[in-house]
Amino acid sequence: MPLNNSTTQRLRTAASVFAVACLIGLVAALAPAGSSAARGTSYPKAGVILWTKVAAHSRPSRSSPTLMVFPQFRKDFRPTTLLVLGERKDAKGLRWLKLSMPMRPNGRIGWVEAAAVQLRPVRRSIVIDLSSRKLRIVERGKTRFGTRVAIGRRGMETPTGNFYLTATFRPTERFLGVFAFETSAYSKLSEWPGGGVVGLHGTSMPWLLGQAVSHGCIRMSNAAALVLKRLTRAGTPLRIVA
Amino acid sequence: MFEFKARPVRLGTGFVLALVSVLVLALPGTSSGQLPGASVTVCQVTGSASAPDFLEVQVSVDEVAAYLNQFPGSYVGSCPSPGSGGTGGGNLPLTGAVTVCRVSGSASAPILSEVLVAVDQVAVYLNQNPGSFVGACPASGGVGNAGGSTGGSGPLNAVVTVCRVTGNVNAPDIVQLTLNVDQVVAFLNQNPGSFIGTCPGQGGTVTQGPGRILGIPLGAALTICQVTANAKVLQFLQVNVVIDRVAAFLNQNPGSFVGLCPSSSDPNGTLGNEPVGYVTICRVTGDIGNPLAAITIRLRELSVYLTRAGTVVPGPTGGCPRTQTTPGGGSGPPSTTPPGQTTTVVVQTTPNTVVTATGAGVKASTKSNTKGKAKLKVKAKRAGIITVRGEGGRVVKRLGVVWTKRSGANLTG
Repeated sequence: MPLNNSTTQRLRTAASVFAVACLIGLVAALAPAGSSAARGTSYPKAGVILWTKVAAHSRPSRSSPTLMVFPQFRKDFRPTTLLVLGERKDAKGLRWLKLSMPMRPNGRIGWVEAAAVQLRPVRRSIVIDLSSRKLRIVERGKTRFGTRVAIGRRGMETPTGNFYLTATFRPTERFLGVFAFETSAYSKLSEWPGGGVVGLHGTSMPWLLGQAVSHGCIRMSNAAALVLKRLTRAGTPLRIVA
Repeated sequence: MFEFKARPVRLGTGFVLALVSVLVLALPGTSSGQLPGASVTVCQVTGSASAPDFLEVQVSVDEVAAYLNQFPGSYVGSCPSPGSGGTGGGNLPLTGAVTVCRVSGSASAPILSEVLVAVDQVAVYLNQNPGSFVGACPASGGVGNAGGSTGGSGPLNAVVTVCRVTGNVNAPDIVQLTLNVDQVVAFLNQNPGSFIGTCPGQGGTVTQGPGRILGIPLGAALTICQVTANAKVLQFLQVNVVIDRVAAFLNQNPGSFVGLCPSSSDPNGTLGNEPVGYVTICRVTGDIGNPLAAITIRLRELSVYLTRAGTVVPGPTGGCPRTQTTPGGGSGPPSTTPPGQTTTVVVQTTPNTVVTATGAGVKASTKSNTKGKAKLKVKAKRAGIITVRGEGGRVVKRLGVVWTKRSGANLTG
């Protein structure tokens, strides 16, 4: 049935109002996240050190105890990478960054002066579920990649908590597979040479995947290790849940 | 994990802020002309010869005095912008100089003279010449431009609009005054925190009952660094002054300022507001970890320090930067290169200077171009760190020479 002019006019008006309302709603929904991102206030972020060395304090204050001193370069000459969880200003207006500390005990928080660090955003994170023995790479809430892993055996359980990748390398040991990642997590085995760092690495014994057999490290197939090499880098957050 | 929680929190915070804003706007009796909600535009003048910095900020009226005290050289009004002038009336930062109306003399012989001051010395100049202001002088029948000052019938009879900021814990107040130009110097000396320009609101008197002044709660004291000086040495003494005596104290102790004194634990202290004849700067140390250090010097020594690229004049209020941001760049972010591979390193440093790269078996040098850009080709023989140095041996870049393959013996496996 043909519509008369006034009906057409009313429909057009209603459609315009609806479109404007949708636009306003869309802008309102997107604005907070967008403006915040523009200000660079969303965390976590990864960072490298601009100074020769920088002290990490227990509180955002120069007078608070020093937890450790980060050198700009590690002993293997790779740049020290930090994971920044937030920021705060002290009474003098000095900006401080809240760090996930790569030290014992696991889960420790430290603070460094913001001027010492250059930040970059992180888009992906690694989530490891110990109960299902699955590793996932998550990006914007969606799983980009998943694989089966081997975890720490009884008495040497893989620690749970929030950590990050501190370095990547090709291991000389065949046992560690084709690629390996150092993390900021520490194993229960404190007497291990080098401190007992929990690693993510490939394996020469793929038939053990899906079992609790390691000394605390996360083992995965060599193919999965190469995917991780492509999708992640030092500074990527790592969450291990029970 | 981390990113999942951020979004709803930000949306919630935004919503609450919006709700609070709506409620505040709806409250009866709250208007832009009254304390404590009103704000004024302040042009914050900082920076150095090579990096002048103008920043327009909105400051709550009850914090204007403290703000101007912390940022000498800043003024009430809009900042100059390239091509468009501004309240400050300059063509900064293109020309590198700003017009200042120097107000001196006495009641019987007032002297107004327009001078051009290099932007990096504006703060120092205004500190040296209280009462002077950024902008053109009031002319005969004309209009001055320092935030609303008005011209009269000539320099001798010209009048200037001044906003007097005084008060105490019980009765902080802001009063709009019109003064003869020959009284301005004395007035601003007598009333620290007052400024040339119109008060917030419609002009005239804006008085507030009991409340805050300078952002300090009722009955509080302000921490003041009392600065005394003789020919050889500066002395600092940290004192607490009851808020309604602050103006008198600062008047009695020229050079003293609100804030923390430099100390052994914090050698930078709160910079600015030096005694007349002195200026605090951040000098270039050549130390990688601490490239800039605060030092208070006689003004006549300033030219010597300015010969060193990277010197910051005046020193920022919050202390010297821990990295150099002026030409010369400071040590940039670290990067890596494998041994045995030729890598081109590009650095930004002082123009026409020799740039060297050493370490990890590398010895190379080149000269930066007229824009300060230098390209070096390096081929490391072994793992280690390559250090690239610019003018005066200052480190501008460090590269880690890294083997991709290494032992994973430190992993628990």
